[in-house]
Amino acid sequence: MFKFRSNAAALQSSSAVTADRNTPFIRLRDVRKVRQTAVGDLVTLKDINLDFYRGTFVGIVGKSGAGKSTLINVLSGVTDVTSGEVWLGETAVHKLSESNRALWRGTNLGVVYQSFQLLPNLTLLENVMLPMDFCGRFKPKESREKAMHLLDQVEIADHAHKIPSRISGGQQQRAAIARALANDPPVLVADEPTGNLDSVTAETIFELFHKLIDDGRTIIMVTHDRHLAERTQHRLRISDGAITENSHPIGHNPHA
Amino acid sequence: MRPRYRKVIADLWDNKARTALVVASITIGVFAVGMISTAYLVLPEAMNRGFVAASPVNIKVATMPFGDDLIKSVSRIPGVGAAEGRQTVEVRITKADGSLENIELIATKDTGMHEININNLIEGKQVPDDNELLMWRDGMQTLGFSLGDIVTLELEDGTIRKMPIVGVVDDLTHDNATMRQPRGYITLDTVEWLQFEPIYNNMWVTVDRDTDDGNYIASVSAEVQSKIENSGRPVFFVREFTSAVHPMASIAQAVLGILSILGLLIVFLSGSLIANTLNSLITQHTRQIGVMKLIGARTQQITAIYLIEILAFSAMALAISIPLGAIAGYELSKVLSTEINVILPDRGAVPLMPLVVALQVFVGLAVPLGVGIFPIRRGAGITVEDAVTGGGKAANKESKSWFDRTMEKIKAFQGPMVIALRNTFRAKGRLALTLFTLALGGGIFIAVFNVRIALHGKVDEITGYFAADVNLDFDRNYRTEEIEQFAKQIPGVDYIEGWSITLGDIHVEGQQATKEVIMFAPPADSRLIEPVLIAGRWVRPGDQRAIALNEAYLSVNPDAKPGDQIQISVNGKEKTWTIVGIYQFTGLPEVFGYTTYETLSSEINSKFHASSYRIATQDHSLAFQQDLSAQIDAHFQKNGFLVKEAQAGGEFRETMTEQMDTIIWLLLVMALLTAVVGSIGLAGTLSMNILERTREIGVLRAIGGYNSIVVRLVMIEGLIIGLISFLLAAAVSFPISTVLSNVITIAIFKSPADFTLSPNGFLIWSLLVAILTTVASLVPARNAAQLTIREVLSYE
Ligand SMILES: Nc1ncnc2c1ncn2[C@@H]1O[C@H](COP(=O)(O)OP(=O)(O)OP(=O)(O)O)[C@@H](O)[C@H]1O
Ligand SMILES: [Mg+2]
Repeated sequence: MFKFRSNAAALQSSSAVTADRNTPFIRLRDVRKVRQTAVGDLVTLKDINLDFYRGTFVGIVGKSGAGKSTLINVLSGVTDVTSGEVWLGETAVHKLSESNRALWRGTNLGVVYQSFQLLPNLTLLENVMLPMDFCGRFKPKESREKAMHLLDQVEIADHAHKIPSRISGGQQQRAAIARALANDPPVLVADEPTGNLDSVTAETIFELFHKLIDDGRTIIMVTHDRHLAERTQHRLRISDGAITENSHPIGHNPHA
Repeated sequence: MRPRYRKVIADLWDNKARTALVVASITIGVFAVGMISTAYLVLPEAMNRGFVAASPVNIKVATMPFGDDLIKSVSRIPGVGAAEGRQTVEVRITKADGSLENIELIATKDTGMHEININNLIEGKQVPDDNELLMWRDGMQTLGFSLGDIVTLELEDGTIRKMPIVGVVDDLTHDNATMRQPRGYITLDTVEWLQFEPIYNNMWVTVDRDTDDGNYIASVSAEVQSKIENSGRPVFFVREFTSAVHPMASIAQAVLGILSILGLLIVFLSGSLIANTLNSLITQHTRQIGVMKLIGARTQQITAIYLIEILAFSAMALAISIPLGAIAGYELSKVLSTEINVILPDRGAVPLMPLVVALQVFVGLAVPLGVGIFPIRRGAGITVEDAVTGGGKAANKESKSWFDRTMEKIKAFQGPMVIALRNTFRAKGRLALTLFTLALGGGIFIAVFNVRIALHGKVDEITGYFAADVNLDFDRNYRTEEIEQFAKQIPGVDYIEGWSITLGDIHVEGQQATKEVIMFAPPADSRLIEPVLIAGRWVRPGDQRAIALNEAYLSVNPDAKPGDQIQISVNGKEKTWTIVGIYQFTGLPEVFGYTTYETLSSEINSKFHASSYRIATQDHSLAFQQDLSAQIDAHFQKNGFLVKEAQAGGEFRETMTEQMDTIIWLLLVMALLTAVVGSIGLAGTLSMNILERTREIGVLRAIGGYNSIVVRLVMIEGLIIGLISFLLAAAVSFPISTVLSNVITIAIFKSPADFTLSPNGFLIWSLLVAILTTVASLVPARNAAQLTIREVLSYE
């Protein structure tokens, strides 16, 4: 069943727990991305059509340069589409202005990259508090408690008051995940989150993701690791900017 | 605390060098503003307040002895504010170093309590008792005395009198700052003790209103004179003065004006430094900005964060520069004030002035925010994609610039040189700003040394009128031949000229007031005067009542030109004289005229006689002059001549040079400030360039570049910037020197400067740049070279 919301309300996060699992939550329609390069135009996404449902774990694989990051970035509003539409719930992401997109992303989407992207001179705790600060959804005291709780969840609460360069790569990645979850977003996009980690650490991150899925979150993850990809519910392969394999094309709900 | 503010603090704290750089840049500008505006508010105010409060005399009339009845009737003349009698005598005083000097002693019935030319007590007592001496502050320094000293006076008949100095006062009305004769104050009874008649011979009068209106003063003066003449006394001479503003106020204003212009330049330079550093800060933070946007920060929030950082820089700079500026401003005023005879209120009585602080706060906020808003807007507007993926667009654009293409074509440069050159010109905006700062700062620095030479040149010109080695004055006329004979007996005396000197009154057409002219008459073939003519010629042998007047006459009659006939009263007889030339003198407002001895001595009926002599000696050093002056003095006294004074000619030059050096000193302070700005700019640019390239340096080393190569690269880069900046500074120093010299010499001497060049400025600046460049590039280069590859590659 649809819940109609105004555009302003679309900027607010929908609670992950009250997930509607029967309607596609994220929809890409005829998404095309053309980049200008020195040797001419390069079509990096070719008319992509995709549906993602709440509470699913999406895995994206493909060769280097295939367009995986581009797809993820189009989803998160980091990259503009050349044409086509990107919907998240009732929000037309492709129509949001730069600033509104930042606010929207801050509240609706957690983003995790391969290199950890923490602010180098803030402690982990402060890094995790930062999205809450920018989006203003929690009182300072509340956000502190929440950030501690998140760090606890990713099992690095002990390091809360250290700066990123004083902890290991895996710990930094967990901090980045904690930060991505700060505003309670229904969706987490991750671009090779385990790419820099050893297999044991990667496994713990992967388990963490599964817990988040169980909470009703949607996770869209790019990975090079075939074994990890095989353990996702909704698998995609992309080559040369086109979807070449899709375990759940439009109309196929992985929950069904 | 909210994490975004934590970030602000962390940014300021973690990069202390950068914080110091920005804060120093802001501080210098705000400091200059504070220093100069404090001086601007303190000094002219103190000058005029002190001057007006002293109730300066407007009319001085010298006449025959008179008493209280005449004072009473003069004071009843409409327009007269106050009238007082003065007795002025001159005696010889033995200086602390044993030499003799003339001192002017002023007496009145209630010395110390009088109402005209009120003295300002500095130490000791305000009112002298009989046989006690009150000294003018400046005379104390010249004579080498301090409070409580017993001075020895020599009277006309050789009698010796000893008096204690019981008080030191400042006569704020004493306007003639370039030729300071020591002055003291005594009671009328003391006058008698010094073997003069205890009566008045000078009438001092103030007017009741319009103290700045020369015509009003002249009209009151005419009434006063006729009142005195009606009492049966002849008027010997009259001098009139306006008294609304300090006579040196215009010069002080001019000097402060120049300092203000330099101050503005410094603010400007500091602004460009701030722009540079903030630009680099934003560039370094591009990735961080991208991350913040990625996690939900809007453009305004990012903008706000960096604006707050700027405000924090400003706040730190203001905390330093407000108190420092106030102190320096006061000290600056102090230096200027002693040169122009002004008493400043105590340091404690000059608290932070709200206007100055407001101006500083304004400059300290407006300049950094004004120049910072551009990089901030650029940085805050960057898209997440550009920031996180390394900003493809900007990098592409830059790598294809005309410069790089040209550089690629130049094959003459090899290896590190090419890389260094390319690096130097990579951040073009920053380089341009740095070069601009350094060029202007260096230009000003170099110019100050040229201005110094120009000012000394002016002093040289003026001392051309005082070319004699010894000036010998007697209390009465003697036959010139006789004096010549006695002078020739003293070894070291080369030759001697007798000069006629008298006062005349020029009747300016269409004006009621006459203008006093001090007339000098050297022999027509005098070898002891080198005039600088503006128009016409100098007086010649055979001239009949010809006169050359100084530039001050032009302010009396702007149309005056050679060939004009003017009426001058000399010795009570008004005759027609011809102006043959206008010459450049000191810029003082007094009118000085030169005619020939032959003309003037016959006008005043003293042919073959003179009381004033100019002597040339074989050695022209000041020490020799002073030594010989003492010998000449003694020799003539021994032979029964009434010597008034024998003074070394070089002393005048020394006083003037000292005054010029005060101005030079002030300019040098400004030059140093600009040098500091320039240095910070250079150091900042070099270290920023290196910081931004730390990663690149790491890569260079990872692929086998040695530390020495890295260091050499950075050094070459620094030297290139240093060299270019020096060439630019040398180039701009020419126009700056010209403008600065002219503005200053016109303010002080009322005439433009000759262009002069001193190698000193160029040399010192080139040395400074060389040292700075080396230090500013070596330190960051070594730091970069010492980083481990791992550190470098993880460097954000
Ligand atoms: N900023 C950019 N400007 C121009 N072309 C780009 C840019 N970013 C990516 N591309 C190009 O778009 C194509 C897709 O790139 P993308 O980063 O999406 O690949 P990917 O699948 O994530 O590869 P990898 O596994 O190596 O990360 C590539 O051909 C790449 O060269
Ligand atoms: Mg990728």
